[in-house]
Amino acid sequence: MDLSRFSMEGRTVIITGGSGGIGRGCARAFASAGANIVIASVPADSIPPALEEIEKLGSQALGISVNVAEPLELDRMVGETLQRFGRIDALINVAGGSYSRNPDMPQYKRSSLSEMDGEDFVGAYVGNVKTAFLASRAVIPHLQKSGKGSITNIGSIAGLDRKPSSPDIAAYGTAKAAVHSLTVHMAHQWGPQVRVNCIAPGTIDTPRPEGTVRPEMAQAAQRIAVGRVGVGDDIGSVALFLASDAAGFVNGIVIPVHGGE
Amino acid sequence: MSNEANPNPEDVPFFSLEAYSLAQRVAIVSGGSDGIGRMIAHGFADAGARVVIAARGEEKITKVVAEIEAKGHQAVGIPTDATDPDAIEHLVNRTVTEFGQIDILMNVVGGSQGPTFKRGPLLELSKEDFNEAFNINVTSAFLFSKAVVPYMLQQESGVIINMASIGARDYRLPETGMSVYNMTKASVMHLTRSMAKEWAPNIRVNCINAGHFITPRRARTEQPERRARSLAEIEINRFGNPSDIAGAAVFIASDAGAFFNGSYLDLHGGT
Repeated sequence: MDLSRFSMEGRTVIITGGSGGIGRGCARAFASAGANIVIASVPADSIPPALEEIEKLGSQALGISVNVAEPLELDRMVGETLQRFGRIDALINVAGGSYSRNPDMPQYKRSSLSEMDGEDFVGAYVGNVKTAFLASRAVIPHLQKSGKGSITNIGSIAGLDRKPSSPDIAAYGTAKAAVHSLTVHMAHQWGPQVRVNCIAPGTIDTPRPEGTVRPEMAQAAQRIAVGRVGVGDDIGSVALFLASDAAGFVNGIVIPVHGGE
Repeated sequence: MSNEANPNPEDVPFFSLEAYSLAQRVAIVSGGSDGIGRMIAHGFADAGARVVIAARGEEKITKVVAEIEAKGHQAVGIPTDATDPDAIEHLVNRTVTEFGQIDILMNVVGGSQGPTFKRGPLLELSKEDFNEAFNINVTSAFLFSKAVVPYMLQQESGVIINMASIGARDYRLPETGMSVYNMTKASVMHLTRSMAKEWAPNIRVNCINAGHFITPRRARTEQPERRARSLAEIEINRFGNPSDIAGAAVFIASDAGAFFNGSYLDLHGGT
């Protein structure tokens, strides 16, 4: 049995938002495939547990606390990565979300369009689109040197849906649709050396702060064909596929991963 | 990654590269004796699956089975007319007799032209051209799936992958001559979604929207100018190869694709 086309042995991957639910799922997948992993995350205290998990899987990990909306901080991230691992082969842009979670990042909250102000609307754009753009721009010269370079953005089915799941994700859905489009432009401008793709996840349950209950998850499971909501690993396995040689002909696409909605 | 609802996502067991393995799986590949089907049959076998080649033309089937066996993998060839429900029933029964299970159905059989239908501008097509294209590209996927699904439901697991085309996806007006083919592949995309809905939760159904792969048939029939035009469309400056289609199909068929369902993978290198 030969699974070598999914291997990332000897390659280095940077995961922004790498200490959150989807980011951790990606980190586990890439660690299992033998990659060196950089966790680029804002909340510094969330990094050590993520690193520990990766090292347990036998991979090398570097944690960098970085605000991915700031070009200078991203340059520092690239510098530290090169110093430790000497190369960058893949970037996974996970940082983002439907509302801001980190006090150090631009603040925005969810609301319906009528109740939303311009700051929150732009905040969703900064948090999801600008971050992916800036992080990609910062690493692209190194990805082009890799020979196997790839970028994977995280979009959302909220950016594809014709029937939005709730009114308060309008700005998020709009921003994620922009991430989908950004993916196509990146693939067009940075190919053929670098492949660029986007995963559009459906409902993914991610670890919450203690005491947070998400009853909507049980409800969501009922409308999903596979009968459950997704977890970080479900997106990690797709992200690993997209970055690996197995996806050598996958480029400029948005892949919806939702369990059947 | 199990199918069980997991109340606490942090309890999910550590991911392993073995998630992409097809060890212990049995896969039927329709149209598996040639072109993209043959590439996938090899890919499945390399990932550990036992493979059943269901196609017309015994000679080509025998050759692919021998190729796969020469690599130390298990394969069986069963000559099957993809338009004949009885022949498909026979294929499924023989697969179960031989291997005791069916885990993966890969519906590849199809094409833009064939012995019973031609492609061309709409005004030059007959009713037979239209209906036969639908039969070969859409009805066949329906018939194979319908025959296999009772076993998958009984096993409470299974994966079906349909082969569609980027011709079903393009928002630009399509190439003259590909009208009916593109229509059938759009049908396959939609059929995929209904299958995923109706056979949930234990059977996953997806499709691959393939771009430009140079199959032996295409190599024989395509004009060089058209070939050059196709290549110019592809961002990564090359056509798809056997590893590309195998990698995509193995990912979807394996547990790594556990949450990939009722969906599609565009496979075109940026087109």
